[in-house]
Amino acid sequence: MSVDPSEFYTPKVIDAQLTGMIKTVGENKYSARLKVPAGILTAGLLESLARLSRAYGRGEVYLTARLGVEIPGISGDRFPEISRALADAGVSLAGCGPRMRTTVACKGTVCPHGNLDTFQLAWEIERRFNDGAVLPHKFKVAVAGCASTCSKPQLNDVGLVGVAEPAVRAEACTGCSVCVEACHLDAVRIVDGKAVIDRAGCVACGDCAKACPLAAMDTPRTGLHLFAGGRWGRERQVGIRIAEFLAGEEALDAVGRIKAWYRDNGARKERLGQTVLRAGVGRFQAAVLGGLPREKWTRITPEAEAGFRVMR
Amino acid sequence: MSAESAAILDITGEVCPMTLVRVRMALDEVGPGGVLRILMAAGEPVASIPRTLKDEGHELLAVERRGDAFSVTVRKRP
Ligand code: SF4
Ligand code: SF4
Ligand code: SF4
Repeated sequence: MSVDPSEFYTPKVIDAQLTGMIKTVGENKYSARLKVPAGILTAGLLESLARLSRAYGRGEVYLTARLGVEIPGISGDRFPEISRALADAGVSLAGCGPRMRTTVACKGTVCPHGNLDTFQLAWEIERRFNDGAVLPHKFKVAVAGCASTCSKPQLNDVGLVGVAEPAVRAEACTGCSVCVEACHLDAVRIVDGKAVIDRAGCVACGDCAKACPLAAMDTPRTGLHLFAGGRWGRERQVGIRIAEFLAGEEALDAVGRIKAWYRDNGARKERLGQTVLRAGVGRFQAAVLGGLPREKWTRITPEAEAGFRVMR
Repeated sequence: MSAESAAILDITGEVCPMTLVRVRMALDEVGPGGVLRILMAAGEPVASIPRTLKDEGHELLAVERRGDAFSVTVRKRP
């Protein structure tokens, strides 16, 4: 999996595309919402944005809550002009309305806690699935590099979290307890001079293994945990984990299947979480995890199912 | 140089990011291949500093717990 980010800055559709032009207050004024996958802007693009915001807006750009960029203050009669100028600068307008939104990622690629190249995964999700097609409602995907989940994957329709489950190599462990200090959840203890992991309390963030000065911990199980049905707003719902330790391709497949299932089963104006509640978590899980080995399906406990509810 | 004759740095009173800054300054002093013993508080310093040293290619010679503090002995990359 190797994606060149410049691909996203080469728009395929240049015609006076209206998605991504957000009406703002003020007569005939719009904000151009730009696609910034994983929140990465090149220096060249920043220069173009500065130039375009002066030429078509009011010399400002706004950062959105999902790592996007908007150029405010554009007159509706200048749409064709700015569409062309944006295309020349190599930037696309982002989705708005009932469509997939730009994929968000934390900085897991460079963060010391990261278990995963979050930028690459977010770009790949964009490349494969963000086609601008109309869906029942908005559809948001977020990627996080570890269980700290800085990009809030559990509050997106689909969330992917990089995980690394530790295992102690007892013969190499000196019982120094650095790993005990590294674990935020008190899931490592020293027993008879050796580190022991409490599986029930461990969220597979991998911090203990990364901190071990003697490399006495391996991470034999790594991959991605998959959450679905999260959202935030007037109503809130925390996404439910439906699959675990997925390989990159398995996770990408699952994102595609979830999007297709939502397109086919979602009622108008209904977010994925509501559709899943209507269909039942078990049926949803079976529909979207089809070909995956059973041990990768998360067992949905009654507590997990009870927690997957709409909050106001 | 043996661990016994190592330079000693006490950062038990520092918090992030000064913990790492002090370690970097002390490592500059000891020179390549030199040994430094760092006393640091339990918690965040010991969760991140040995790891950073390891990632940057220095050799960790010993890590011992001393009550609420840790002694971390490191040999600077040659
Ligand atoms: S979620 Fe983990 S990897 Fe990503 S930025 Fe936060 S701490 Fe770093
Ligand atoms: S940090 Fe490594 S060597 Fe020290 S107790 Fe933990 S596993 Fe053992
Ligand atoms: S992987 Fe994370 S949660 Fe699990 S024991 Fe290690 S530090 Fe604790």
